[in-house]
Amino acid sequence: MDLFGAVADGILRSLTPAGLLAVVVGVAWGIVAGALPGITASIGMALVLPFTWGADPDVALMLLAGVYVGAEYGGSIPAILIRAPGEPSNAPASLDGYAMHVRGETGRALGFSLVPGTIASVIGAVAMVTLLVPLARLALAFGPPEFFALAVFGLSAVVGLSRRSLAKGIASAAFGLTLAMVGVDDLSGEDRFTFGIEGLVEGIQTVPVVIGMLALSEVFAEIDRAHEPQASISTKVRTALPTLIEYVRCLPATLLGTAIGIVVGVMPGAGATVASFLAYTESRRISKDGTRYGEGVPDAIAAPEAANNAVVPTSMVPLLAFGIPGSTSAAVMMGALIMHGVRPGPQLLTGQPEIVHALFGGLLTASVAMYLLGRLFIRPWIYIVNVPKVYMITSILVLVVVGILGLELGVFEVYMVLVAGVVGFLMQRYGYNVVAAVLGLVLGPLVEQNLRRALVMSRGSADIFVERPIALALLVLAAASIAYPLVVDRVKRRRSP
Amino acid sequence: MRRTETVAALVTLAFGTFVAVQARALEDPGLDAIGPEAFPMVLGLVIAACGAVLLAQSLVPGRREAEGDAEPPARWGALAATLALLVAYARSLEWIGFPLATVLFVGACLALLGARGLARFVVAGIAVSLAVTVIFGRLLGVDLPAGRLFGG
Repeated sequence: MDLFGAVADGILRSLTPAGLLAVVVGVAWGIVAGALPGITASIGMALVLPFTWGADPDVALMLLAGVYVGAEYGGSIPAILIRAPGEPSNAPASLDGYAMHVRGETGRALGFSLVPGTIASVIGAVAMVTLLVPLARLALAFGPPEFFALAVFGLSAVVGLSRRSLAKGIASAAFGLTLAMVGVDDLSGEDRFTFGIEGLVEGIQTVPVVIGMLALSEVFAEIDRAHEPQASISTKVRTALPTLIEYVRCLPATLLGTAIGIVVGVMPGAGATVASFLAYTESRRISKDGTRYGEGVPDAIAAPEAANNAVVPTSMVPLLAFGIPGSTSAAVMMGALIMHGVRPGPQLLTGQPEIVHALFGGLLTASVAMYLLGRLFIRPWIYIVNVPKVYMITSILVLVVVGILGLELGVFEVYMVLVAGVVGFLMQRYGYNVVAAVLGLVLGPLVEQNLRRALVMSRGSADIFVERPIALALLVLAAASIAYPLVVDRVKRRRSP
Repeated sequence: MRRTETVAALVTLAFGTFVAVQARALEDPGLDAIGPEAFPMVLGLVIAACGAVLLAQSLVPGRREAEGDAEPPARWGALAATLALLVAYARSLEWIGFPLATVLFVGACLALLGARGLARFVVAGIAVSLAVTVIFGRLLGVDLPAGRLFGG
């Protein structure tokens, strides 16, 4: 199907009653989740993931797409109002957004997040589909050695971002991979790490562990901080929005942010936070108000907020084209696809193109829904930030339990969620990389099976990874993404004795 | 701070060793180039090696310490109590059913986390329970247990 046909099919799919409902509910929940401190886009997605059980896979994807899109705007609400970004990727917007809010221009600040975000989201969705076709074609030429190398690259890109300790990052990723080994080995039929526990024979289920490690662990972290005083926001703010001319004036910064978001989004590991910080610093150079960044200028909000919204669709590209998620949100999306019996990868685009079209349509409709919901209900979203933390924590705990009930899992899986939550909390507290572990769990079977298949191809010789140029290049990139932060760190230390 | 780092390193080292030893014990049917034991064993060794590096870093005094972003002690009591409450909630669902268990859980959780006012617990409990039952139970068709006590 040509590009135009794909676009049309996607939009039509998202405009069915079920699709539209999924998108609107997803965006609304995404804005709420994004605005709540600690609840990131991927956690918001993990929390609603169980409720897609029983729905069609395309409806499930549209719901998750809506959450992801909405969260990137929602996070800018507390960033602007209390200077506490709801998502790490909204941190740049808190600088100038808060300054604008203090001047009494709250509505303008929110507008400069919402409209550029919407524009970027639409352009990003088109970029996703455009990039997908050639990349999926490339992926069809991939064999086991390439998929192994690509999965390792995806994992090491996330490990490379472990700020606090590289050793802990590597250990976390290996821990996630180890979890994926539990259960009956597909190739040999051997039981591995089951310790005679019946619930483990089928392997560790991805969805409960993702909910536990990502969402429940964060709730535990919030409980840990619950006694801290909570800033309350006056809802008596001026909600006058920017004028059309003002939006047009920050169009260059918006488009620059969008371009950065698209490029960064496609690369595994980097994600929305990297994109928005890059967009903030880069837009400063082209902006007329470059020297006044930090004092509350529109460009300084528009560029990073465009960037984090542009990342949303393009971060799905590695997952859809290669079957390798490059971010936590993509990992949750992969969990959803597998739960619905859809295998992401290059065959998806040719075998089940409707899934990809639905995701595209969902992203596009979600962008429009985000604009409308954000525009219509400026004040209600502000009230949400004011909800006392203890109520939020309690409600989310109930939501987690209802989610598990929704999945109709056994008692064993309920405890699995709790254990994963505790493990995730401890990992997070002591500087381990929970994201790397989750990604390891999701990628585990891919990494191992492709490694073993590759070695069968080569009759046990590891040379196959050196002889095949794409595999070699990916493995070099993987090594570089781990080594690069180390080198930068060392250089910095030498410069500042 | 240093001591927790040492403990974390030892846990990492022990876990890695455990994985490697367990993997070694697996049988290789010899069908493929590498059997089911090889990859987990490598993972175990990698984790153990990371643990060893962390152990060395925690024992050798040096630059690491200067970064020491000492975290406030965790509220282990509150965390353990929440966990116990969650387990109790999950277990009670089967017996007293979702609506009642949720009212009790919400009230208890709010009290535990330091909210004030009995009336509020009751109102919040009933509100959350009702909202979830209607939205998820009725609209989304989640099978919320009615409870044996009520003939569910």
